[in-house]
Amino acid sequence: MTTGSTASAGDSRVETIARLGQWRIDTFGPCSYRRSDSFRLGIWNWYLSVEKNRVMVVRLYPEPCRLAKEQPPLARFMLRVSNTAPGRRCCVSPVHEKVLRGSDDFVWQVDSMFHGRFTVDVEFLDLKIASINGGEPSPIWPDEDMLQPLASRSSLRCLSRMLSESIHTDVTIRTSDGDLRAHKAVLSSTSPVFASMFFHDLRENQLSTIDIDDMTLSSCSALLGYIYGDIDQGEFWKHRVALLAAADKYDIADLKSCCEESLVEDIGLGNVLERLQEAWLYRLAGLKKACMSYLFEFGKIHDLRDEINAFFRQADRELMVEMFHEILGVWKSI
Amino acid sequence: MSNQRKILKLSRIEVEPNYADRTWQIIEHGINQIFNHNDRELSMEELYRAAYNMVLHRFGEMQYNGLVVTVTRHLEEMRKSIESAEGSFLDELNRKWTDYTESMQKIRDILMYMDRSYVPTHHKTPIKEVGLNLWRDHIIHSAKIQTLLVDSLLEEIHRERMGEVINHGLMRNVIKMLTELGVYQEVLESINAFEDVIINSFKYLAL
Repeated sequence: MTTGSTASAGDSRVETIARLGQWRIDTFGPCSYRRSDSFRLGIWNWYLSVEKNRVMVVRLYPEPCRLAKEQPPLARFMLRVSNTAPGRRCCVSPVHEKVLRGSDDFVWQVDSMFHGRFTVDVEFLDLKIASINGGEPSPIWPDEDMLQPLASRSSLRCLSRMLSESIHTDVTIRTSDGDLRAHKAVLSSTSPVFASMFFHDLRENQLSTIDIDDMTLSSCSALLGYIYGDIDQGEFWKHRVALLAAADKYDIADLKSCCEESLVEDIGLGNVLERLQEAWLYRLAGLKKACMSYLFEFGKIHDLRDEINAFFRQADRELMVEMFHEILGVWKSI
Repeated sequence: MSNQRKILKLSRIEVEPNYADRTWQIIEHGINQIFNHNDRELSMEELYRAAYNMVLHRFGEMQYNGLVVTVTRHLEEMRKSIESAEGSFLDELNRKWTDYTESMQKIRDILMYMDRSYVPTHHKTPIKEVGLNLWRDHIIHSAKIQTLLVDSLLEEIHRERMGEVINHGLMRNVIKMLTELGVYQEVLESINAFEDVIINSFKYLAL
């Protein structure tokens, strides 16, 4: 590890462990003022400085930068100065609790003078981010920002291994063209439909098997991939219409809206009527609005004469009425 | 732009003749099996899928009305069996009520999509409430059952006062049922010994 110290002396470095910073000063040198290298504790970089004139003064302050300005530390800490020479002496400060912004916020006048080698310790009992506008200070320990993402990543890894390596699976899903293994508990916590299937003592629970004839092996494994947090964009894209149907059927709301958003993204001449039909079937207001606007506001319906005739012959009356109103709306605004 | 755009094809379901009737028959058969305690072979996925597709393709109303008719038919059978119960009336009423609520829970789960989609968009009464209303109208409001119910409750209270040991669990279940149905007050008002019963039945509720 490099010391990062300035050229002045090799003993400017403050060693840190846990919440303790320790600065060993070998020789004070000819000047009356020494400042340590910056050292990191919590989210801030700190400095210690010692000034020796008639009396000895120790200061502690954060590096003057944007962070210290916008999120100033509220520190509860104590300092200690001691020498290691024979006849060991030691001065301990009271516990202070202060917002530290600059070098004048905390000044400790040490009772006695130290010469030769001595050590300055700073021990933080607690560190918080002081609120600038008078609110509650927010603690930085324990560091939840680090813990939460770590725990999420780890549980995702577990889940996807449970699926890919079939760890203790307890249910078979029979799709139209092959079987998959999964976990009742995982399925039940994703979908109230699966939950009720394994709650009642009907066939699925007795045989630990679900016959999902209306899905293919590949689209069902994309569904499981989503449920177990292990699906890539390509697979999602390829199966999104099937995933939409499954999300609607099994009441998985976030997957449904994610499919809808994706289907809005690539509306085009080749698919707009199909998309409109899907939007109507699954009651997707956003997708329906986008299709209607593509057709009528942007006038793309003129490029679809043949298809629209066939569409009108087959489409549901309720949907036709809605389309008709949409056309009237567009006419009105012209 | 693709040169050969495909003409939209509607799904198989919509062109199938009698689709709705045949699907409802599957669901109705399932409901009958559940009420007849013959449901261990039933596939929840299959029934749910049938019910889901029916509502998805805008046959929600047919499903909703069909449900009311089918449940009513079973309630009529239950009514007869409760009215002609040999042995303890309260026992039989409680047994049928427990059966009924368990069956309705399964049926509600099979028809979950109707509750989620058709019911709110058409401002209908949710299935759970429909189930309670039908039980109240066909069982509790039957004149014969109402008389039997009041008499039996009074008799139990009287027996306990005479120092006999009665089935407190049963009393509690019956009173809980009446509370859930919102007819507790109604039943009480048809009793002359009004205060007596209130005092005593609160005791059972607190047990």
